[in-house]
Amino acid sequence: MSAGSKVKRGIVHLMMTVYMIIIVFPLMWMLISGFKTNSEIFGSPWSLPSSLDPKNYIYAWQTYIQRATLNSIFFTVLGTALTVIIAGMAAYAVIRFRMKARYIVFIFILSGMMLAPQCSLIPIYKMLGITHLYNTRLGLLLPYVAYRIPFSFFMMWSFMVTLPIEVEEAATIDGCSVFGTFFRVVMPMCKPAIATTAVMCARFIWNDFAFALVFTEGKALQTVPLSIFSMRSTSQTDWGVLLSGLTLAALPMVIMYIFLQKYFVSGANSGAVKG
Amino acid sequence: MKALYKNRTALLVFIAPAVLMVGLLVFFPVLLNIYYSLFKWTAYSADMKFVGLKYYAKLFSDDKIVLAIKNNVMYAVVSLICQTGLGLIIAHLFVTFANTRYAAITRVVIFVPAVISLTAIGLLWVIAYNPSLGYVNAILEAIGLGSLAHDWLGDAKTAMMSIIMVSQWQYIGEMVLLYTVGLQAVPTDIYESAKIDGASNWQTFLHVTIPMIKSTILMNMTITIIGAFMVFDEVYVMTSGGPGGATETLATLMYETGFRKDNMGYASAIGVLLFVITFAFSFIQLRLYNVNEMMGGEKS
Repeated sequence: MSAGSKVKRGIVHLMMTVYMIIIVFPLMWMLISGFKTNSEIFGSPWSLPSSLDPKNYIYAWQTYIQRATLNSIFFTVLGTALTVIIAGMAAYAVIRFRMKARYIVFIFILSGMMLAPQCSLIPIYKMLGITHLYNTRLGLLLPYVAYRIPFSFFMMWSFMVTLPIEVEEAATIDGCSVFGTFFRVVMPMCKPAIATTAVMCARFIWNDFAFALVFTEGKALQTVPLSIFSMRSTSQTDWGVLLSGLTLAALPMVIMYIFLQKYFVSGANSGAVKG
Repeated sequence: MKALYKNRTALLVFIAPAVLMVGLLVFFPVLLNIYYSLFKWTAYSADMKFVGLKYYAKLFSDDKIVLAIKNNVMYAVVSLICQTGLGLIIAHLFVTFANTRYAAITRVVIFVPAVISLTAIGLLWVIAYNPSLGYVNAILEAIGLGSLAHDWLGDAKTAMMSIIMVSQWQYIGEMVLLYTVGLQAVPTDIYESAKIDGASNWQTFLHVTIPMIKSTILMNMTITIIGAFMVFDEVYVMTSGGPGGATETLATLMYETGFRKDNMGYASAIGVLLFVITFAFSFIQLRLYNVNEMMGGEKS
């Protein structure tokens, strides 16, 4: 390597280090300040907490985050599972069934991607009111699933279309029903696509704020983003508790990202790189 | 393509859930939104008074809407510069100059904020910007820019930009990741021949790299613009549109009008406006997926 390019590499490495510090510092600050007492927080943003007593974390968890985490897990797990199955079935039907309207169904579901959920907050709110689904688990779950179907359908379709038909033909000849073939032969082959789709769904549902804000009220159905938002107004003066609550809210997704990194990356890319 | 099944009942079972859910909860609300925007109504009463296009006339003369659109446009412009522009340059520098392993680690780290909810990130920065307990002013003082220190979110002049910068902090890493895949797909022999022709790094970037990943750039631009017009969470969480309406965007204004002021008809009209804008860009985006080509190629 020439001296010139060594210098360039050095500068870029320096830049990368600075960039990483810019990203990591606020997150570490949040984690560490969560241990501080209120007077320590007002003392100086640079000081370290006098003790690592997790009382803020325990209080935030017990008072706000615990129940919300259970709710978020409920919506995320069930919503993701439903989305993957429903989108997978539709994708499979478009590929393997004789259907005149194949192209129309394909375009119809895919076009759902063009409609931003934010625009429809009011009509869906009204629809949930009319059907008595407002502020119910089902009432929040259904919009989550519906808005994730188009993208998930696209992901599942792009993978399924590459599967060899022979395996399924063999299964059919062995007496497998359509459903048996789909659930026991096709879906297991789709594991990589399912993982990416599921991670994208989970990221969307776990982090959603707008739907939960508009389609639910009160504490019973509060998800994590709503609970930390309500912490801000109720514990306004107790910043240590708020910061520890934010850390607890951020942690599950960060942990999931650390373990399932490759699916986060492929998910993010499939949304942007043309099929 | 060869059809494996002809069973109509099974077909229905397979496609009905997806079609019904998308139809009822994604498409139908758009139409309902248009219908609701023609009436004066409130959330807690069944009365609906037909007002025709009154709310649309109001849209165009409402200063708040103009300001909200201005804020959305500012969001879009800054995000285009930082995420689609700077993000590309950063991704390019990483791919071209950095040690492969170190670049990979950096990309993993800078993507972290993007997986955390906007709500948590927004609230973290509310504290960070706070003049009496946050670190933003403290950092400025430490590097000798103490004169700039002030209440970032409390000042109508800086509030919007402060929110926008949080979003850049959170999402540039994701854009870098998106570009990296595109950049790595460019065949290396193209770069070799450019080098032999005596092109500088910068020339190669401008005249070889950019044209090669044009479709990725276009796609990222549309994603960024759509995102900028849908902005809701971070604004609502950080300022709720304040101070004095300075950070209102179309989505927060819609929420405010509908659920706080209970003027549901006008809020629906704002929703329709938001729909028209985001739909236009989403349409372009979906064209970039090249659906026709995809299905066409698969049909034959």
